[in-house]
Amino acid sequence: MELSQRHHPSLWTALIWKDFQQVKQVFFAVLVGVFCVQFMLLILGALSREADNKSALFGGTVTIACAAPILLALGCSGMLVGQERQSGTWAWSSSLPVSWSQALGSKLLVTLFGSLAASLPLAVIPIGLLLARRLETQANSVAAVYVSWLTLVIFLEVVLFCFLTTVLIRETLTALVVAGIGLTVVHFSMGALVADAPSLDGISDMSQYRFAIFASAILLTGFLLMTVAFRWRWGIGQQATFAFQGNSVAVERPISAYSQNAIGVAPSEWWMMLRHSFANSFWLRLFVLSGAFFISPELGYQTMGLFPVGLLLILGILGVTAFEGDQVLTRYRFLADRGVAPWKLVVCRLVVVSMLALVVCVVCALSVSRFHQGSLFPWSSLASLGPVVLLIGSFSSIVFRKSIIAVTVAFVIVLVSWAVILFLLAWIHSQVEWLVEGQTSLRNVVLGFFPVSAIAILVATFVLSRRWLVFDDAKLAPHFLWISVAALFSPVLLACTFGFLFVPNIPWQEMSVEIRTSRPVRSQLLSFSHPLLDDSIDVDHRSLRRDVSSEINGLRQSPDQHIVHLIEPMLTSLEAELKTGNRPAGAELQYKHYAKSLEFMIARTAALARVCLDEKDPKSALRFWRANRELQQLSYEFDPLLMRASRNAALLLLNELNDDEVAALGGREVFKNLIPAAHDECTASIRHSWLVANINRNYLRSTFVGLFPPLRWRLERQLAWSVAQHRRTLETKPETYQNYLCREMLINRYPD
Amino acid sequence: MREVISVNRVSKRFGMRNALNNVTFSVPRGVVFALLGENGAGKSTLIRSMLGYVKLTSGIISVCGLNPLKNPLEIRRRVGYVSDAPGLYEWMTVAQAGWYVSGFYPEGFLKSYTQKINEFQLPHDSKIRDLSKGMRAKVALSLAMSFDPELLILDEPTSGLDPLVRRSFLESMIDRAAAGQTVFLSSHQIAEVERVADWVAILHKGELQIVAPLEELKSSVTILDLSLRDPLLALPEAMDQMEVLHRTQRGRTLHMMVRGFTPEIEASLSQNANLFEIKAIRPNLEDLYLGFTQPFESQFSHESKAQTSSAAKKSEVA
Repeated sequence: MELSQRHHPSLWTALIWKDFQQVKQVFFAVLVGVFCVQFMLLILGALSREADNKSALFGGTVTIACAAPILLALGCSGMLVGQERQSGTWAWSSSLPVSWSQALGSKLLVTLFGSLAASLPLAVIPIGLLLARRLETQANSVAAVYVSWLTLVIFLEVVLFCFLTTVLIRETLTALVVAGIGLTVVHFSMGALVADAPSLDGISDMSQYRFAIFASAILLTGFLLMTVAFRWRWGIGQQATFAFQGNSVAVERPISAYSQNAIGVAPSEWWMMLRHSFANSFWLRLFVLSGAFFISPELGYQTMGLFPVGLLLILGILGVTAFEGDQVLTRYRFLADRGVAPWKLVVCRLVVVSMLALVVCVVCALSVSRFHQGSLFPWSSLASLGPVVLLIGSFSSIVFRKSIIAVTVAFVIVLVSWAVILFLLAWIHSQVEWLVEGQTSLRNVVLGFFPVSAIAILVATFVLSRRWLVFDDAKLAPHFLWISVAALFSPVLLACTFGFLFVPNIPWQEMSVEIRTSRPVRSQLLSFSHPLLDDSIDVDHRSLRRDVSSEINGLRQSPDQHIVHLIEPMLTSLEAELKTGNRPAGAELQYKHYAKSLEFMIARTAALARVCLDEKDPKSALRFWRANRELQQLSYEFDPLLMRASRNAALLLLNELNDDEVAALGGREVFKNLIPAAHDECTASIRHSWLVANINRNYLRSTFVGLFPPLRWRLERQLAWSVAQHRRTLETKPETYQNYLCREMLINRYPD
Repeated sequence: MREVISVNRVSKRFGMRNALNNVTFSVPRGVVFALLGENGAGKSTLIRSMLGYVKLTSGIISVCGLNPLKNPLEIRRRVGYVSDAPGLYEWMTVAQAGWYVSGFYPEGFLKSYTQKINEFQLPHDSKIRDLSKGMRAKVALSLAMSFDPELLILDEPTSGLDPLVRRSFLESMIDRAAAGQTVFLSSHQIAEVERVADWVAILHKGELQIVAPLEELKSSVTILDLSLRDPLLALPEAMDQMEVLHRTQRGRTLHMMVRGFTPEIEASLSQNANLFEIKAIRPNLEDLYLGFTQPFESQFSHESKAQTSSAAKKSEVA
């Protein structure tokens, strides 16, 4: 449309349009990044079979949706205030007939409503999970309200204090880091104030009261300070800017005459470049380091889970400081015009940043070791991921001229890649779930290949730095995207391709002995299904496994005594299942929960038999003991060693029957018939492990793994290696595993 | 009200430095007023004071009858301002920039803006970041002039413009002044300012050296080149009747910029035996500018003489 024919906008329309246009890239990046992570968590949760993992992964979709508005608030304050001041548009805008309140109002409206609007699409997955009853609702409403308020308070604090610091400090990134440090310190103080609450579930009224007062005071102070600062800054335009030295050419100080005299000779090029690298973003680094030093002990003490995330965040920001400030046209032209060799520049910048990163890591290690001696802190993961995050930060700072964009893009790339890598690992794991060790090994191999990514990014940085220094309009952003994605996914690809080299090669043919012996059994196993018990009685699985007697007491003390009325239908169902149960596919044998279920039933039938005897119902007790015997026989078709605890418990219970009870059951002969037949447990266990491995091997070839031979080789080697390890263990330590001694005791009770 | 801008005994200190020192002048309506001065003379501080950005240490400024510190918004509605480096939003297109700014001004802005960018031959759909420095300046000028401001304040407006556009732009300033609007510009392009400026003010180290209509200034100031027979002899008494603005001496030649050089004084000087040649010429603006901003070199010439003599003595001792 012709410009003169366009409608005349109102003041608010123009302001809000302009502000939204400035932050729409940030909104897009955060929305896409967070949605990808949410989606990955959803898929991972759906694939996960462990209830705890599933719950944590689904809950993660809510947590990250809560974090999104806070990320947006950071981005908006950086772009709407910091970037405007850094690029000089602030001065021009303030020369227009726009009052400070209108300018501030527009920026706050875009930030607040933009974050709210962005939260809506991010709420789709959590709401869907909630409606599908897949999301655990917070049982304690007080804690839920507290967490909701805390999120809202943090969001508002981030908005107010980031606006305040970006208004006062010219360098956007430095301003955001200062705000971040300040807010973290404030929240630790707030945590100390409400610390008299034993947990989130039991927050006292006094703590809530203190929290409300404290939060209100912080927000009010933040709002007043921000308003005053904004009004002042808008009123004076771009002048009287408070800037930390070391970030721009304009404020660089020449070496004083004194220092020149003191040096005596001209410094070398390396020395000057190292000195320049050290001075680059000096204040920003100082704030980051001091923040890390002051906060890390508290963080290490309070929240161990956040520690690696915080450390990676610090490394990423340190990475961005490598070339921060040099992205400005005048700055790099300054370097290029003086014939600075790109590779020397990159080396100097990375050496200084790496040294600082090392200092941060050492301090963090000391903080963690102080509070968590011998803890399982993932240092190996951090050691391999840390350099990559550091280099991605420096790489993005060379590509993107706005530091806030460099930081945002670097973290979105790392976050999304992390989610995708996790998803890939979990997906492979879900396809070959029986290989827990294999999955762990694959993860370790992936971590082991991250140094390759670091080298790739390093090479890319050197190559692109030439173009960056030589050409004015070097378009590096597209290269950044594909190089980062390739570098982050190459460890997964390399692990899948060359991972088989890390697993000992045990020829599959060595298993031929077991193949022959197990072939008849195999056909039986393939059509086996465990019987399903009525689960209307709530039985503690763990106590059954360890101590059947406690479960018996529990059943006896059942308040409604409904157990007695349920016994007959339970028995009928169990016997029917044992005779003609449903027959699932043989491949399902691999799932551990079948074995666990069988183990559980062995203990439970024994417990119920004991209860029936107590209730003077020997017939039902006998039927339970017979079912128990059959279940024990079935356990040999699985790995009997895995179920030895519950079998021993059941047989001990049988052994505890007194003579009167034995007589009530039908006498000695009946008692002898209840004792399971003798089996070689170790052979059965080895046979089962091989059988499962063989079934899985065949199954592997029918999945996606079959399409990618290197991954199939690795998994087959893993299968063979696990069977060999199992056999070796059982052969070397038979006495430890052949502890099925209770049976001998039962047979010796009534000798022939 | 005849004055559009009234600056009365204005001083501004930044720490120990005097940016403006007791500056007083007024700008009448309907003129092109040029503010000249070297870098750091206080031009930008004065302009920013007029727009309400700077709080004065002392003195009063009135722009369009308003106090800039009390009514900054009203002043920005009535005054068009272009700084030397206008910070336009680089992601906007030329058309978007106009549409955005039109929200702050009455109807008719867009039509006028379209006309101006067409005159400047600016591409509507090009992003600001893709424009050259001169084209950006044209966009900024178009934005500042499209709401037909009562007063246009321009800080180095023609830097980056090519000569053709610069000339056409400056001529348009004359048209604006002829239409009763006022243009206040600060520039280093003295030759071009001379062509368009009605009034001139020269600021030097925060102090106002001169403010006057350009033609009046030119007619009242004379550059004298006096050739002396003996430079050690005293100058004739007629010289005391003139205001000496600037004086340099090279050997037997005395170069002076004076005010109040009349035919009577000329006749008196011509009869002096020590002066064998008198040249009197009318200065241009550059001469005036240099005259008001350069230090009195007569002192320097004495100092240089002293240095020369001390050096000669040292060489004799050696």
